[in-house]
Amino acid sequence: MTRKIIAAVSAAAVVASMGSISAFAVDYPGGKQNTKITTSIDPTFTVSIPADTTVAFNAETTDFSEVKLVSAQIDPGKAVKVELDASGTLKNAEDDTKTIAYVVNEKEAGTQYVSGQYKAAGDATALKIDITKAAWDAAFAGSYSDTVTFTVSYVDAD
Amino acid sequence: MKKIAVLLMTLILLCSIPMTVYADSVRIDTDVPASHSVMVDVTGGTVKADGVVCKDQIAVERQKSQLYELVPEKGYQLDKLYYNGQDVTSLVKDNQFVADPIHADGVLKVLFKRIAEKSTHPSEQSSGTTPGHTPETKKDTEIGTDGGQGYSESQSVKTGDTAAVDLGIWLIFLCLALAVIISQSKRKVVS
Repeated sequence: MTRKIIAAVSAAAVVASMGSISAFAVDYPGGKQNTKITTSIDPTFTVSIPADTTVAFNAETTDFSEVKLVSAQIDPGKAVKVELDASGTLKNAEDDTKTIAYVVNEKEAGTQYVSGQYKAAGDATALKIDITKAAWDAAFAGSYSDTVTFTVSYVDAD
Repeated sequence: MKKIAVLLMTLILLCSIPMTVYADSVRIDTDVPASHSVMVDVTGGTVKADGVVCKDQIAVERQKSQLYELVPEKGYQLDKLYYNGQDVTSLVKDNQFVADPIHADGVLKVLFKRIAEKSTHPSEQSSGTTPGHTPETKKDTEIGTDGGQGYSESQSVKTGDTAAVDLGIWLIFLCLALAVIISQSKRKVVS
Protein backbone atom coordinates (compact mmCIF):
# COMPACT_ATOMS: atom_id res chain seq x y z
CA MET A 1 0.00 0.00 0.00
CA THR A 2 2.75 2.39 0.91
CA ARG A 3 4.59 1.62 -2.27
CA LYS A 4 1.52 2.34 -4.31
CA ILE A 5 1.09 5.66 -2.70
CA ILE A 6 4.72 6.58 -3.34
CA ALA A 7 4.46 5.52 -6.97
CA ALA A 8 1.33 7.56 -7.46
CA VAL A 9 2.88 10.64 -5.93
CA SER A 10 6.01 10.26 -8.13
CA ALA A 11 3.91 9.97 -11.24
CA ALA A 12 1.94 13.03 -10.31
CA ALA A 13 5.15 14.94 -9.77
CA VAL A 14 6.43 14.00 -13.24
CA VAL A 15 3.19 15.07 -14.86
CA ALA A 16 3.23 18.33 -12.99
CA SER A 17 6.82 19.05 -14.10
CA MET A 18 5.90 18.54 -17.75
CA GLY A 19 3.33 21.24 -17.56
CA SER A 20 5.69 23.78 -16.06
CA ILE A 21 6.39 27.05 -17.89
CA SER A 22 9.63 28.91 -17.65
CA ALA A 23 9.49 32.59 -17.06
CA PHE A 24 12.22 35.15 -16.87
CA ALA A 25 11.90 38.58 -15.37
CA VAL A 26 13.97 41.47 -16.77
CA ASP A 27 14.47 44.76 -15.07
CA TYR A 28 13.65 47.61 -17.53
CA PRO A 29 15.18 50.90 -16.36
CA GLY A 30 13.46 52.96 -19.06
CA GLY A 31 14.84 54.93 -22.09
CA LYS A 32 16.29 53.50 -25.31
CA GLN A 33 17.57 49.98 -25.37
CA ASN A 34 19.46 48.30 -28.21
CA THR A 35 18.74 44.79 -29.18
CA LYS A 36 21.25 42.92 -31.16
CA ILE A 37 19.97 40.74 -33.94
CA THR A 38 22.37 38.17 -35.27
CA THR A 39 22.28 35.57 -37.91
CA SER A 40 24.79 33.39 -39.66
CA ILE A 41 24.98 32.08 -43.21
CA ASP A 42 26.88 28.93 -43.85
CA PRO A 43 29.28 29.24 -46.78
CA THR A 44 28.06 27.60 -49.95
CA PHE A 45 29.74 27.17 -53.28
CA THR A 46 29.52 25.15 -56.45
CA VAL A 47 32.58 24.04 -58.36
CA SER A 48 32.60 22.47 -61.80
CA ILE A 49 35.45 20.18 -62.85
CA PRO A 50 36.32 18.52 -66.18
CA ALA A 51 34.41 15.48 -67.33
CA ASP A 52 35.86 12.16 -68.46
CA THR A 53 37.99 12.87 -71.53
CA THR A 54 39.25 10.79 -74.45
CA VAL A 55 42.52 11.88 -75.99
CA ALA A 56 42.74 11.35 -79.75
CA PHE A 57 45.64 9.25 -80.98
CA ASN A 58 48.78 11.35 -81.68
CA ALA A 59 47.16 14.50 -80.28
CA GLU A 60 49.85 16.51 -78.55
CA THR A 61 47.34 18.89 -76.93
CA THR A 62 43.80 18.03 -75.89
CA ASP A 63 41.25 20.37 -74.36
CA PHE A 64 40.44 19.40 -70.77
CA SER A 65 37.62 21.85 -70.06
CA GLU A 66 38.12 23.95 -66.88
CA VAL A 67 37.91 24.18 -63.13
CA LYS A 68 35.36 26.85 -62.33
CA LEU A 69 33.74 28.35 -59.25
CA VAL A 70 30.23 28.44 -60.62
CA SER A 71 28.58 30.04 -57.60
CA ALA A 72 29.96 31.16 -54.26
CA GLN A 73 28.78 32.56 -50.95
CA ILE A 74 31.90 32.51 -48.87
CA ASP A 75 33.31 34.40 -45.95
CA PRO A 76 35.70 37.29 -46.45
CA GLY A 77 39.25 36.09 -46.38
CA LYS A 78 38.21 32.64 -47.44
CA ALA A 79 38.61 30.83 -50.73
CA VAL A 80 37.65 27.60 -52.41
CA LYS A 81 40.70 25.50 -53.13
CA VAL A 82 40.77 22.85 -55.82
CA GLU A 83 43.64 20.39 -55.92
CA LEU A 84 44.46 17.95 -58.71
CA ASP A 85 46.01 14.58 -58.02
CA ALA A 86 47.27 13.00 -61.26
CA SER A 87 49.82 10.22 -61.71
CA GLY A 88 51.01 11.61 -65.02
CA THR A 89 50.93 8.27 -66.84
CA LEU A 90 48.26 6.56 -68.89
CA LYS A 91 48.51 2.84 -68.32
CA ASN A 92 47.93 0.09 -70.87
CA ALA A 93 44.86 -1.95 -70.04
CA GLU A 94 46.62 -5.22 -70.89
CA ASP A 95 50.06 -4.47 -69.50
CA ASP A 96 50.42 -1.68 -66.96
CA THR A 97 54.17 -1.56 -67.51
CA LYS A 98 53.42 0.08 -70.86
CA THR A 99 52.56 3.69 -70.26
CA ILE A 100 52.15 7.04 -71.97
CA ALA A 101 53.30 10.10 -70.06
CA TYR A 102 50.96 13.10 -69.90
CA VAL A 103 50.71 16.43 -68.09
CA VAL A 104 47.64 18.46 -67.15
CA ASN A 105 48.60 22.06 -67.85
CA GLU A 106 46.88 25.41 -67.53
CA LYS A 107 45.90 26.62 -70.97
CA GLU A 108 46.88 30.25 -70.49
CA ALA A 109 49.94 29.94 -68.28
CA GLY A 110 51.17 26.72 -69.87
CA THR A 111 52.36 25.49 -66.50
CA GLN A 112 51.32 22.29 -64.80
CA TYR A 113 48.06 22.53 -62.85
CA VAL A 114 48.44 21.31 -59.29
CA SER A 115 45.93 23.47 -57.42
CA GLY A 116 44.03 26.72 -57.62
CA GLN A 117 42.17 29.09 -55.30
CA TYR A 118 38.89 30.68 -56.31
CA LYS A 119 37.24 33.52 -54.41
CA ALA A 120 34.41 34.76 -56.55
CA ALA A 121 31.82 33.16 -58.75
CA GLY A 122 33.12 32.90 -62.28
CA ASP A 123 36.75 32.41 -61.35
CA ALA A 124 38.08 29.60 -63.52
CA THR A 125 41.19 27.90 -64.85
CA ALA A 126 41.12 26.39 -68.34
CA LEU A 127 43.03 23.12 -68.61
CA LYS A 128 44.60 20.95 -71.30
CA ILE A 129 46.25 17.54 -71.51
CA ASP A 130 49.68 17.52 -73.15
CA ILE A 131 51.43 14.44 -74.52
CA THR A 132 54.71 14.83 -76.40
CA LYS A 133 55.31 13.43 -79.88
CA ALA A 134 58.12 11.29 -78.50
CA ALA A 135 55.74 9.75 -76.01
CA TRP A 136 53.26 8.94 -78.77
CA ASP A 137 55.95 7.44 -81.01
CA ALA A 138 57.16 5.19 -78.22
CA ALA A 139 53.66 4.03 -77.28
CA PHE A 140 52.72 0.43 -77.93
CA ALA A 141 49.38 -0.43 -79.42
CA GLY A 142 46.45 -0.79 -77.02
CA SER A 143 44.01 1.03 -74.77
CA TYR A 144 45.35 3.37 -72.10
CA SER A 145 43.69 5.19 -69.21
CA ASP A 146 44.25 6.98 -65.93
CA THR A 147 42.03 8.43 -63.22
CA VAL A 148 42.74 11.88 -61.78
CA THR A 149 41.12 13.27 -58.62
CA PHE A 150 39.95 16.81 -58.00
CA THR A 151 39.67 17.69 -54.30
CA VAL A 152 37.69 20.77 -53.27
CA SER A 153 38.12 22.41 -49.88
CA TYR A 154 37.27 25.65 -48.08
CA VAL A 155 40.42 27.39 -46.90
CA ASP A 156 41.86 30.69 -45.82
CA ALA A 157 42.71 32.73 -48.90
CA ASP A 158 46.35 33.25 -49.73
CA MET B 1 46.93 4.96 -18.10
CA LYS B 2 44.62 3.85 -20.85
CA LYS B 3 41.86 6.01 -19.52
CA ILE B 4 44.13 9.04 -19.56
CA ALA B 5 45.12 8.33 -23.14
CA VAL B 6 41.53 7.94 -24.24
CA LEU B 7 40.61 11.14 -22.46
CA LEU B 8 43.38 13.05 -24.15
CA MET B 9 42.40 11.75 -27.58
CA THR B 10 38.82 12.73 -26.98
CA LEU B 11 39.89 16.24 -26.03
CA ILE B 12 41.98 16.49 -29.23
CA LEU B 13 39.05 15.44 -31.36
CA LEU B 14 36.81 17.97 -29.70
CA CYS B 15 39.35 20.73 -30.24
CA SER B 16 39.96 20.02 -33.99
CA ILE B 17 38.27 22.29 -36.48
CA PRO B 18 35.96 20.35 -38.73
CA MET B 19 36.46 20.96 -42.45
CA THR B 20 34.36 19.62 -45.23
CA VAL B 21 36.23 18.29 -48.28
CA TYR B 22 34.76 17.06 -51.50
CA ALA B 23 36.55 14.91 -54.06
CA ASP B 24 35.63 13.58 -57.47
CA SER B 25 37.50 11.43 -59.97
CA VAL B 26 37.83 11.99 -63.70
CA ARG B 27 38.96 9.43 -66.26
CA ILE B 28 41.39 10.13 -69.11
CA ASP B 29 41.78 7.51 -71.82
CA THR B 30 43.15 6.95 -75.33
CA ASP B 31 43.64 4.19 -77.89
CA VAL B 32 46.81 3.49 -79.88
CA PRO B 33 46.18 1.53 -83.11
CA ALA B 34 48.00 -1.72 -83.87
CA SER B 35 48.72 -0.81 -87.50
CA HIS B 36 48.92 2.19 -89.79
CA SER B 37 47.87 2.76 -93.37
CA VAL B 38 50.42 3.67 -96.07
CA MET B 39 49.04 5.10 -99.29
CA VAL B 40 50.98 3.89 -102.32
CA ASP B 41 51.21 6.07 -105.42
CA VAL B 42 53.37 4.54 -108.18
CA THR B 43 53.90 5.47 -111.83
CA GLY B 44 55.68 3.24 -114.31
CA GLY B 45 55.99 0.17 -112.14
CA THR B 46 54.79 -1.57 -109.01
CA VAL B 47 55.67 -1.69 -105.33
CA LYS B 48 55.84 -4.86 -103.31
CA ALA B 49 55.74 -5.26 -99.54
CA ASP B 50 56.50 -8.67 -98.05
CA GLY B 51 56.34 -10.07 -101.58
CA VAL B 52 52.82 -8.81 -102.19
CA VAL B 53 52.06 -6.15 -104.79
CA CYS B 54 50.72 -3.01 -103.15
CA LYS B 55 47.69 -1.53 -104.83
CA ASP B 56 46.34 1.71 -103.35
CA GLN B 57 47.32 1.28 -99.72
CA ILE B 58 48.72 -1.27 -97.32
CA ALA B 59 48.51 -1.81 -93.57
CA VAL B 60 51.83 -1.77 -91.76
CA GLU B 61 52.22 -2.98 -88.22
CA ARG B 62 52.91 -0.14 -85.82
CA GLN B 63 56.59 0.55 -85.12
CA LYS B 64 57.64 -1.82 -87.90
CA SER B 65 60.37 -0.90 -90.41
CA GLN B 66 58.69 -2.00 -93.63
CA LEU B 67 60.80 -3.13 -96.62
CA TYR B 68 59.47 -2.00 -100.00
CA GLU B 69 60.57 -3.54 -103.32
CA LEU B 70 60.40 -1.11 -106.22
CA VAL B 71 59.72 -2.99 -109.47
CA PRO B 72 59.84 -0.90 -112.66
CA GLU B 73 58.02 -1.85 -115.85
CA LYS B 74 60.09 -3.05 -118.77
CA GLY B 75 62.01 -0.15 -120.18
CA TYR B 76 61.68 1.92 -117.01
CA GLN B 77 63.97 2.75 -114.13
CA LEU B 78 63.58 4.46 -110.78
CA ASP B 79 63.46 8.24 -110.99
CA LYS B 80 62.26 9.50 -107.58
CA LEU B 81 61.00 8.06 -104.32
CA TYR B 82 59.10 10.13 -101.75
CA TYR B 83 58.12 8.92 -98.29
CA ASN B 84 55.78 11.17 -96.31
CA GLY B 85 56.71 14.04 -98.59
CA GLN B 86 60.46 13.66 -98.23
CA ASP B 87 62.76 12.71 -101.08
CA VAL B 88 64.39 9.44 -100.01
CA THR B 89 65.68 8.39 -103.44
CA SER B 90 69.23 8.32 -102.12
CA LEU B 91 68.24 5.70 -99.56
CA VAL B 92 67.18 3.19 -102.23
CA LYS B 93 69.55 0.26 -102.67
CA ASP B 94 69.05 -2.46 -105.26
CA ASN B 95 65.54 -1.10 -105.86
CA GLN B 96 64.68 -1.66 -102.20
CA PHE B 97 63.71 0.89 -99.59
CA VAL B 98 63.49 0.32 -95.83
CA ALA B 99 61.21 2.80 -94.10
CA ASP B 100 61.74 4.02 -90.54
CA PRO B 101 59.54 2.45 -87.81
CA ILE B 102 56.05 3.68 -88.52
CA HIS B 103 54.11 5.72 -85.96
CA ALA B 104 51.34 7.17 -88.07
CA ASP B 105 49.64 6.85 -91.44
CA GLY B 106 51.98 7.62 -94.34
CA VAL B 107 52.34 8.08 -98.08
CA LEU B 108 54.80 6.33 -100.42
CA LYS B 109 55.19 7.89 -103.88
CA VAL B 110 57.32 6.19 -106.54
CA LEU B 111 58.18 7.66 -109.91
CA PHE B 112 59.75 5.52 -112.61
CA LYS B 113 61.08 7.02 -115.84
CA ARG B 114 61.62 5.53 -119.28
CA ILE B 115 65.17 4.46 -119.93
CA ALA B 116 66.67 6.71 -122.67
CA GLU B 117 66.95 4.78 -126.02
CA LYS B 118 70.09 4.93 -128.19
CA SER B 119 69.32 6.72 -131.50
CA THR B 120 69.61 4.61 -134.76
CA HIS B 121 69.06 7.49 -137.32
CA PRO B 122 71.67 7.25 -140.10
CA SER B 123 72.31 11.00 -140.19
CA GLU B 124 73.56 10.84 -136.73
CA GLN B 125 76.05 8.10 -137.49
CA SER B 126 79.58 9.31 -137.77
CA SER B 127 81.28 8.54 -141.06
CA GLY B 128 84.99 7.91 -141.22
CA THR B 129 87.55 7.00 -143.84
CA THR B 130 89.90 4.14 -144.04
CA PRO B 131 93.44 4.52 -145.17
CA GLY B 132 93.78 4.34 -148.88
CA HIS B 133 90.29 5.46 -149.68
CA THR B 134 89.40 8.86 -151.01
CA PRO B 135 86.60 10.29 -148.91
CA GLU B 136 83.41 10.87 -150.76
CA THR B 137 82.23 14.39 -151.28
CA LYS B 138 79.07 14.92 -149.36
CA LYS B 139 76.46 16.91 -151.19
CA ASP B 140 72.92 16.99 -149.95
CA THR B 141 70.28 17.05 -152.62
CA GLU B 142 66.63 17.03 -151.76
CA ILE B 143 64.89 14.51 -153.87
CA GLY B 144 62.17 13.45 -151.48
CA THR B 145 58.68 14.80 -151.02
CA ASP B 146 57.95 13.63 -147.48
CA GLY B 147 58.46 16.68 -145.40
CA GLY B 148 61.72 17.57 -146.92
CA GLN B 149 63.61 14.61 -145.63
CA GLY B 150 66.55 14.35 -147.88
CA TYR B 151 69.12 11.81 -148.72
CA SER B 152 72.70 12.79 -149.08
CA GLU B 153 74.76 11.52 -151.94
CA SER B 154 76.93 9.87 -149.33
CA GLN B 155 74.09 7.43 -148.72
CA SER B 156 74.31 4.32 -150.85
CA VAL B 157 71.35 3.76 -153.11
CA LYS B 158 70.63 0.22 -154.04
CA THR B 159 68.82 -1.15 -157.01
CA GLY B 160 65.16 -1.36 -156.30
CA ASP B 161 65.11 1.53 -153.92
CA THR B 162 62.26 3.90 -154.55
CA ALA B 163 62.38 7.59 -154.13
CA ALA B 164 59.72 10.25 -154.41
CA VAL B 165 60.27 12.69 -157.27
CA ASP B 166 59.45 16.31 -156.98
CA LEU B 167 56.54 17.62 -159.08
CA GLY B 168 58.70 20.38 -160.40
CA ILE B 169 61.08 17.90 -161.91
CA TRP B 170 58.17 16.25 -163.66
CA LEU B 171 57.10 19.57 -165.17
CA ILE B 172 60.59 20.23 -166.40
CA PHE B 173 60.74 16.88 -168.08
CA LEU B 174 57.32 17.45 -169.61
CA CYS B 175 58.33 20.79 -171.00
CA LEU B 176 61.48 19.33 -172.47
CA ALA B 177 59.52 16.53 -174.03
CA LEU B 178 57.03 18.96 -175.56
CA ALA B 179 59.87 21.09 -176.88
CA VAL B 180 61.44 18.09 -178.58
CA ILE B 181 58.13 17.03 -180.06
CA ILE B 182 57.40 20.50 -181.36
CA SER B 183 60.85 20.87 -182.88
CA GLN B 184 60.54 17.50 -184.56
CA SER B 185 57.18 18.41 -186.03
CA LYS B 186 58.52 21.72 -187.36
CA ARG B 187 61.36 19.94 -189.12
CA LYS B 188 58.91 17.67 -190.86
CA VAL B 189 56.87 20.62 -192.04
CA VAL B 190 59.95 22.39 -193.37
CA SER B 191 61.13 19.33 -195.11
